[in-house]
Amino acid sequence: MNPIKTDLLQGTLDLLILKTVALGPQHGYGISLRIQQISRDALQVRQGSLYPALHRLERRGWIAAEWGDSENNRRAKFYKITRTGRRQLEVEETNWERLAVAIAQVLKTVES
Amino acid sequence: MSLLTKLGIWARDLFRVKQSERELDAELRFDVAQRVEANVRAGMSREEAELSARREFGGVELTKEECRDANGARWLQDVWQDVRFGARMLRKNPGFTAVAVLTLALGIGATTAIFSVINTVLLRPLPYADAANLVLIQNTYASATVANFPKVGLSPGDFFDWRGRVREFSDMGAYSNVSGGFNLTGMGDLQRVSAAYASSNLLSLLGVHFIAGRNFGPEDEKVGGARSIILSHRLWQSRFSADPGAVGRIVNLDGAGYTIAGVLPADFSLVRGADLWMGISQFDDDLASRVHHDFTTVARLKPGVTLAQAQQEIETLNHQALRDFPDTHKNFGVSVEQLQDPASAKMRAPLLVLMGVVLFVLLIACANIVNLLLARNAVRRRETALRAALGASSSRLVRQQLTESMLLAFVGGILGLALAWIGFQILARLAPPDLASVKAAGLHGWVLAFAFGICFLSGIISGVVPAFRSVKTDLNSVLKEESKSSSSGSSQRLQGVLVVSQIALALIPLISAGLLIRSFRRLMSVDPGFRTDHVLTMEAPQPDIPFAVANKMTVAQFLKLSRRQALEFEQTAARIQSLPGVLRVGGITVLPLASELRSASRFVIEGRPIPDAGVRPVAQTRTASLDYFAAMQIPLVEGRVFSPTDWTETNAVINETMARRFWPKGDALGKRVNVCSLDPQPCWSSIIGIVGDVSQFNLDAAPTFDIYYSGGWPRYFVIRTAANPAMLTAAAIAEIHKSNLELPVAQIQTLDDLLSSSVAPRQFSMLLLTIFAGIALLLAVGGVYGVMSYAVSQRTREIGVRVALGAQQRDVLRIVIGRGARLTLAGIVVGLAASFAVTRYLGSLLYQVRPTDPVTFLGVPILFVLVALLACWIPARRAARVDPITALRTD
Repeated sequence: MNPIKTDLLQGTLDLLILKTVALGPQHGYGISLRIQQISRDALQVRQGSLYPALHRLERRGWIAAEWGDSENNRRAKFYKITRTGRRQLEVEETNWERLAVAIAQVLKTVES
Repeated sequence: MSLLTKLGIWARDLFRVKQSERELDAELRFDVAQRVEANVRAGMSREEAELSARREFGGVELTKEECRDANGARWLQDVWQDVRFGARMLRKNPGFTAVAVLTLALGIGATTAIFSVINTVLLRPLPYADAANLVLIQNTYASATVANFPKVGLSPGDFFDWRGRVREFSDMGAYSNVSGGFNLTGMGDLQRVSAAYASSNLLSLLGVHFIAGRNFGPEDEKVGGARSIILSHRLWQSRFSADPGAVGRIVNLDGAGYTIAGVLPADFSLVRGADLWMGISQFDDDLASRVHHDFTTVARLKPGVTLAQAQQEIETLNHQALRDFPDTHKNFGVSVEQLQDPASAKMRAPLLVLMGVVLFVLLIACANIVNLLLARNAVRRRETALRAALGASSSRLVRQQLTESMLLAFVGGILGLALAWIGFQILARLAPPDLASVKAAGLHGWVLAFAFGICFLSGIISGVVPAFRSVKTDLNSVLKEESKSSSSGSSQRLQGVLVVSQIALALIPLISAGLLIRSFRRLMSVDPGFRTDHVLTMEAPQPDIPFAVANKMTVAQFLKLSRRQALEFEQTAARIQSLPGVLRVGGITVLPLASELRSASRFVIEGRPIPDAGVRPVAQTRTASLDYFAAMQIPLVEGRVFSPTDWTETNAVINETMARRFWPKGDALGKRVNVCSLDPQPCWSSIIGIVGDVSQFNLDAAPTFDIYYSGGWPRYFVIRTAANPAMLTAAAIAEIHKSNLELPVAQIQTLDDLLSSSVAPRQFSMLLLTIFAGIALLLAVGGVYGVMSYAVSQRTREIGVRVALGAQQRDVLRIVIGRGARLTLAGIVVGLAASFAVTRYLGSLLYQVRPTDPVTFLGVPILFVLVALLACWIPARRAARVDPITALRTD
């Protein structure tokens, strides 16, 4: 399966990041790796999109950053989800599901 | 997230730009390092791994840039960066920066200084509680107007009557300053003090907070009731050493005892000249009188009542009074207007004109900055183009430019405030005494806010055009250009337009200043009717005879008293005259060039129809000593001047204007006039002489009808001397004190000083306007010079070619000066048209000069052209000296 390298919709990338950090604090590289793994290489987030998105989410207060030591004992910036971020994640998840259902509906109609 | 938190993060980021940059760098480096390690683990060589990781990652700088964008603090960081960059650029061009900053400093400083005065004089509310609701109620002359004094106070009768009946006003008070003053005795030196009279509710109606003691009480309004006085802050300090214990003490005024009830605050400025206030019952007139309009009436509107409603009510009351007292009210209307400081009202016109002029100065300064920036940007075009090519967005470039002009404006503003402060020190020294409020102006509060706003505006105005022009340039052509630059046609056109508007803007204040200077010269050439040089004057008043006493005197008693006083005066005068260096000594009750109406009466002529009371002509009445006309060198036109026999007869000397107006056939001598009440019987006085006209008020006031009497004590000594009059002051005072009359001596000044202080307000506005017009001229001509120099430097090559091809120096001069002259003439045409439209607003500032005075409208432009041509000539000569070989080698 070819990885999707297209620019994800901005909201979609935010949703993926929020979901990933909701699983536990993670640094930027780790986040991109985890998205790639979970999507079984289907989604590859470009660093040029990931880091600005992380800074944007931090600015909005949905995730918080903290410097800590990585697995191989390097200083790394870890992101973790905040309480407002968690609420936002719920909202976005619902929105996404609704959107996915709606799009699926539309596609079916067109095919029939 | 709340705005406050956001601001907090921005502020933190702004001050931690370096740290957050380091963090961002570390974060991205960590990412790359992880990738490299992953690649190595996957079996790549170290080198391959690094290369591949970088490829995967993409542009690090771009990512950083986007991360910075994602951080909201981006714009603040940019501003900070722009400011630092701008400051660096300005430091690199000290010449440019100095000229620009100085230009803006002049504009901003001048504007701020004048605004500060306006803020103090016109915008500051009166120092009374809730001053917006205070109104002034006056009588107006319905038919005949009296020159210089179109409005008068209410009569005591009307005031007391109306105060009890008004509904639209919460309170109504009155004051009168018609008083000769009192001799204060008993404590230290004899001193002459002036008194004003207030109704008992006046000071509480104004909301005055007493420094000590209390206001008048109701008993102070009853004739024969309490005799209380309230001290001015000034008198309390000078005479009572600011002792709060002064309250309750008894002081002696003209021989009668008065109790000090209270002390006024320092900022109380109603009737500035009053040393003390008395209850209205002490007022030297019949309090039921409907004839004398002595009561200036101040009232407070009830909340929500408009001026129109108030006017309506007072008009109704006046109509009723007209029914009840037709004789006295026939010719009076009423007016209700907002209470304002009379000194401020006088300054309104000159201040507004000055504000207009300094705004012009500011605009000219901004135009200069635009021109400077345009010229400099032409040099920096390659730099700008390069930055644009490297990806700087055009909005970023515009912002950078605006930041620079803003920086110039604020540095200029700080220097401008310093200039304004120096300006104040000079202004305060030059300001004539009745414009003393100018001295209270300073740089604080609103003035600083205003200066800040003006800086901001100047930054925008002078930065916006150059900024957008620099963005508009075509990158390709600029970068390809071999030569440093040559300004494009459109930029030359823009500079031309700027120079033309600068000249036009500068011409308006210059022409205004020209008109004022000519007005002032006209004014100074007015003959006051007497010789002002070598005359010393001083006031030495005798106590007034109380109205109640004077009223009971018979005519014989009165004549006897006035003869005695006249004799006393002549004896004192004779002693002064015997001093070495004294030529002639005279006396008069009111000096000419008076600043206020002191003594005037309506009069009727014997044997002529008697007009209604309100339309009878008004004469200025004066009592003169025997030698007054001689000492003043007022010429005798016909008849004779006073001799001691006139002390016991009622004879009068009138002035030429009065004689010509009422006896055009020249038969005034021997005719009789009456200034007394016709009831019960007139007191006719025969005209024995006609003297030349004298400026009783300002030099620009319309001529008055003057009637001189003799007999009585004429308060002012007029001493004509052979040498410097000031040197005789001490000797003259000593002679007056030797007379045993216990007279205080005050108001010592020469007639020359009196004359110059009477024209001081006009001179002051003329001087200020001329200074600012001069600055405008300087800046505008500087603009012409700058643009022409720049044009010459841009065209050095072209000029070199021309010279190489045989052009003479003359031709080169002609080209350069020709362009300068064309721009100047265009500016002058526009400026003249604008001046024609604008100068009529100078109105009362002009004297016997029309707003479109041809001499000024011709002379000023010629002067301007000459100066502008000089400004063109300097760069033109530089151009003419261009050596073709070096010129062609440049670039």
